[in-house]
Amino acid sequence: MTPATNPYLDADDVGLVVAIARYREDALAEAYRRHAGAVFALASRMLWERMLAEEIVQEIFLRLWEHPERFDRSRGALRSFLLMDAHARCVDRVRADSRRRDREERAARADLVADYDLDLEAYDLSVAEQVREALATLSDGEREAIELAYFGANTYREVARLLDQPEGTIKSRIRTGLMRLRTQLLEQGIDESWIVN
Amino acid sequence: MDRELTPAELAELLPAYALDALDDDERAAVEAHLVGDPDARDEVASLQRAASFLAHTGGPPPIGVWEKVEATIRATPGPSGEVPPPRLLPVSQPKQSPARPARRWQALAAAAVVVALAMFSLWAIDHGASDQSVDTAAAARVAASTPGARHAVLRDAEGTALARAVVLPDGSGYLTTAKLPALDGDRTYQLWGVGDHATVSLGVMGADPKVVAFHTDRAPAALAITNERAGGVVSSAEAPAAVGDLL
Repeated sequence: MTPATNPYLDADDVGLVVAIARYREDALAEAYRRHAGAVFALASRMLWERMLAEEIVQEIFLRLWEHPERFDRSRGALRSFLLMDAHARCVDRVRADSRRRDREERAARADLVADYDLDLEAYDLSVAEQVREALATLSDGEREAIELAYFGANTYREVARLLDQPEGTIKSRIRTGLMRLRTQLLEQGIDESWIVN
Repeated sequence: MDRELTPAELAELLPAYALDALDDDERAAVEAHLVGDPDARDEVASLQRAASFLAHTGGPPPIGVWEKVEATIRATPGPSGEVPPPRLLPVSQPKQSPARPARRWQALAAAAVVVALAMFSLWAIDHGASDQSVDTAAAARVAASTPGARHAVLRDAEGTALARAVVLPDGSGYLTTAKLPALDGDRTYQLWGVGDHATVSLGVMGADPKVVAFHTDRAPAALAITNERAGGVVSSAEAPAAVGDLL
């Protein structure tokens, strides 16, 4: 499937998912082109194994194909939905993996090469920069707690043990940090309209 | 955790829940609470959207995975090897919805032609004669006398009342059938909400619904019921079995 021949190139989230519900492979291919990279990057960062990350990508898009009704536009953009889904699947994998304590020592994520156009890349970099700025407004403790929980698939209790801090402190840092992040993103004008759809 | 969460506990736990960072017992307690607290569900959704930006790094898709996805979906054809019927979607996108005034439905009913295109907020509808439907019936009775509730009597083309519905200010709705005839097993009734700017599927109700619960994030001006093939449809070409304004 080349972008030039895909009739869903300009479709928005709802248009894509409605078409997927009608079993249009082209629509799934377009959703994949737009969002598989982000899903793969998240899974790679959480699982640290290319093969596992690829399995997550495959699983997430097959789930979208089989159960498009799980996507609720009123709850967010398609990319957010896919990332939340992928995050939950990665958490399940990590927590089921007895070797997870070693994963941070594993090799860096594998090289990424695939069909990925410059517009998408520029867009992603732009959003990533805005998110970095929003994250910079968090305290070190808040950012550390959130990243260990989100990317490390740790519970807040595990984060507390890792940082040798009281559980209540970590719970509060996650709360204040995440709420501040949300506020900052809104103040910077980053909302669902920023998300490729 | 075998007790209900206090508001303070909930406020502390929701952000961690949004990050999938709760232990199983706390997660179960939060999820039990979320069932009956739409505000908390909205808060979780909002926090999850914010958290998802942490992963908005983008990047190219992995090589070779799309081919596996494509091969898998092509290896699983629908019934009898044909493309299966389209599926309903719980999507909300007002700007994508065709403008369709409520009265239009009644005009379409008279013309025996219905085309409903937009969809949003399909919630699980419980129906049938299970214990759950007993609870739903009780909830429907309570809802009917709730201040601020809107009511509809859904009638067929001859004016016979086939069902009654009530929608609460928070979007919770209940529909009780009266003379809606049971369908064959390969058919289902489907409920639609009609607004000023959209006609939306509120869900499929089964072949012989008694009392159903539904939810709508918006305030439809009218409700309509169509008779569809089992599983429901995205777009209907059927005349509505019954329609009624919400007053």
